[in-house]
Amino acid sequence: MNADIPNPHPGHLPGCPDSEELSAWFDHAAAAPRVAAHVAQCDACRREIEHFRRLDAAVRAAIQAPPGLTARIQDACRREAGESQPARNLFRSFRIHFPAWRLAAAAGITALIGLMAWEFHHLNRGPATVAPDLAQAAGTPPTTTAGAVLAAAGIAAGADERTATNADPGPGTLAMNLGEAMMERSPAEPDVDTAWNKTVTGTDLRAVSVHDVPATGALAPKILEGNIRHVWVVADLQASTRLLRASLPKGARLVEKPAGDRILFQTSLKDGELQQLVNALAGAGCALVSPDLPQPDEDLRIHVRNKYVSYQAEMVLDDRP
Amino acid sequence: MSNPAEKAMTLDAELVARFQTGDRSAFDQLVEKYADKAYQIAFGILSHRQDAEEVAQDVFIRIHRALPSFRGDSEFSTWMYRITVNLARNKYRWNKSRGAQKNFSMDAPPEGASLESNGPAFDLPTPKPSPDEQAAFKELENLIAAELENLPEIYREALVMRNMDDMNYNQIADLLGCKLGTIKSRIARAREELRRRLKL
Repeated sequence: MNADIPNPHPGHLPGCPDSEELSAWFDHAAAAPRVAAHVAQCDACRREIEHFRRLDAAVRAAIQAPPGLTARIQDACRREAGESQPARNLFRSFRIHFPAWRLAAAAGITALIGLMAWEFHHLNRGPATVAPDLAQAAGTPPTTTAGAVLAAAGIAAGADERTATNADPGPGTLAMNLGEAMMERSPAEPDVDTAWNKTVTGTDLRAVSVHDVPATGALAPKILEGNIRHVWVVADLQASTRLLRASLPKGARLVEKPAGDRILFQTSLKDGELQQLVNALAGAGCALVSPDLPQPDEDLRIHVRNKYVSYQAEMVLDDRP
Repeated sequence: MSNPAEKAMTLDAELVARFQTGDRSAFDQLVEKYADKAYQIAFGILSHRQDAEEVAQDVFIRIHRALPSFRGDSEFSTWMYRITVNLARNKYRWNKSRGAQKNFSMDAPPEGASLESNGPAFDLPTPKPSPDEQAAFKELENLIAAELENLPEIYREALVMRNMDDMNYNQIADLLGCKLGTIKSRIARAREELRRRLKL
């Protein structure tokens, strides 16, 4: 309140509180006695208070959530938990528990099972007196159908699900390809498994949004180890570089390599520090398009041990018009 | 239990604990309690209903994934609000970079000085509106809905959060990462700007 400065609002008296003071008082957030005493005597201030009240009431009405929002969110969470999530976990665990030699063995076994299934099927359907070898000699091909292989792979994957542990996905594998062929998705459901394996290029980045982050399920916190690489899309390379530098803990060493429309960074950070860095970059508007942990504001998904990890960040300029 | 806020926090903690022990309905109750608030925060930042709903949905999907390992270091509501603000801001920046949003005028003057925090000495009576007043209010509501979209984001988000039923200036400042004085100034300027645009 300042009696020397003329109040810009028509009808107000010299000495009226300014609109900020009045607004704060109206919201129960400012020192009251003088303002309250003044408002009690000043018609103009009371009118202004009444305008605040009407405005706020209209704002509250205007920001009402749409009908059915709660139910739609609950449904979305159920779909996420009940349908797509277990399938993704299944494929991840399948990759981890089946290294190359096991995959080869599994492929052989599944082919054998498929062959047996085919033969069993044809024995049951064919003449009872015809032996399998005779049938083959008569020209029936003893080959395994793709469907049988996929079915058998499904058995193998299903068996593996019982021993599943949480782990990050590795590169695409035969198992993944078989698994993806088996998955049934509705047309509207995003192809999250494809996103895991997406090779991110300057062009591909444009197709990835905040909603394309792969779902991961309710996993136990994961330990960050080894080399972690993230690709970020940024609006301003220089500003983002400054932000990255400023967000690093004191003493952290940073290697920078400009490369056209992108800059590569390499540093070594403790796991918790890396999570903080990722949060800071995302909070400042940089868009992380890599699915690997740590993810912005998902601190609970990592198990912080204060161990150092190597971190590579590739910042790509978002040059869309 | 001394006040409603503490009761609400305890209830949230109970619901989280029940969900962590396998009670699916506890999560549904959390959604019932907070879905509208997530939407309102997102709308305050995005000023776009469809985007706000997408963000609200995304918030709870992420919470659903993370809740089994939620340790309760912070209140559930604080955690949820923080996730909402971050996702909505990401979405806002993404939209802006794609040109999907209007370019807001951000040339409004910066925030002014802070004020001391204290409660008001009295409150003004709220008169019951007549039918004419109700019609006028409906018209005002429609105008506000349109003008909110044209307010600069920094003003809109503060004013919208202020009009969520349980947000005080301190909470808004904490959530938006601003000083208390900044929030006071933004809310005042939001009201001033709306009044100017609506010629009130």
